Amino acid sequence: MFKKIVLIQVCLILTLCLPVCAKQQESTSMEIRQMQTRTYEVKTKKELMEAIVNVLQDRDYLITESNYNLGVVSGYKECKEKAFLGQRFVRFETSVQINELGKNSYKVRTNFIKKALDLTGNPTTKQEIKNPEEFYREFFSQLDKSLFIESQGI
Amino acid sequence: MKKFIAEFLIFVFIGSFCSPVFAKNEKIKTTALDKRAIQTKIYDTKSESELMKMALNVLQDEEYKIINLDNDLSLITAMKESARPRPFAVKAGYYTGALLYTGMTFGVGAVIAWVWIKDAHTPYNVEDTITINVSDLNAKQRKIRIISSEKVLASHTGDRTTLKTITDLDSQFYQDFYTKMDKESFINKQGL
Repeated sequence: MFKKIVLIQVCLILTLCLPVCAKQQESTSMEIRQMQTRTYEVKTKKELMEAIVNVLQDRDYLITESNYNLGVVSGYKECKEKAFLGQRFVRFETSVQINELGKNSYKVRTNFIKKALDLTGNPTTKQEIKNPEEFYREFFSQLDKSLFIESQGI
Repeated sequence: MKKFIAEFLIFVFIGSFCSPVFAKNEKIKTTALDKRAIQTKIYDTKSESELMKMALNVLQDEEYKIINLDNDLSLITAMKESARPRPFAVKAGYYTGALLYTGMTFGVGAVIAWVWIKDAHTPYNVEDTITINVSDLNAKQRKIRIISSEKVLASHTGDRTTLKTITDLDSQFYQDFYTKMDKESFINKQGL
């Protein structure tokens, strides 16, 4: 009798652990695009691009490439990150693209890539960004704030 | 019993004086506006190009190499490589390690220890990367914002150069840079 109770309990515990083994559904390309894209109403393209550069600087990114005519800004950030034992160095790379939708309306698309740095300081393996939705939402919320700050002339 | 309670209360009372030692030292989180305030300065110039040229002159004085320059967005990214001596504590560590190794190998490992000590006197390679952003504030004034990152690499004899640390530079770096910019602005106004 006792053995049966133990067996039932073990089975019950194992079924509770099942969600851990569930494969996380990968986002479709449309979902990723949606996550990475926002539309903005601004007076000029330059205003929007300057706000983007300021947001990247707020997030400690260094700008490696920029093209006003194509509306592209690329940058990277290298920083320390907490790891299982101590710390490790990681590199975040980004490129932001602006497309004109209509008069005073622009579409901003950004993508971030996270890479681990090896002992010599070179980027090696690509790593997943934890909670990408929140990560991109934070970026666009900062861009909203930056546009507001710029409009106030701060 | 009363004596025990009295002793316990005295112990708790004295102990409470020590509690601030265990208080978590929380760092004040700088907001985006605080960061901007440190990194930004306003100059009276005729155009964005004039301020960019001033910044370029300062960068050249500091031996920076230009990586990216965008005249439309008024952006400059530059990098500088320099050498920095290893700190005293690191050197002391090398010497202690070398002495211990020599002792443990009864003098046989002295040659290896000698090579090892040489590394203590090889300076760190420091890579400073800086991004400068210039924008119009009003008809007479322009705003300049800089951001910088520092990467320290250590070379080892007979082995690869390894990454030591990556840091965001403190406010002192920005103060020093803007002091040089002020001097450049003076030179510029004097037409020297």
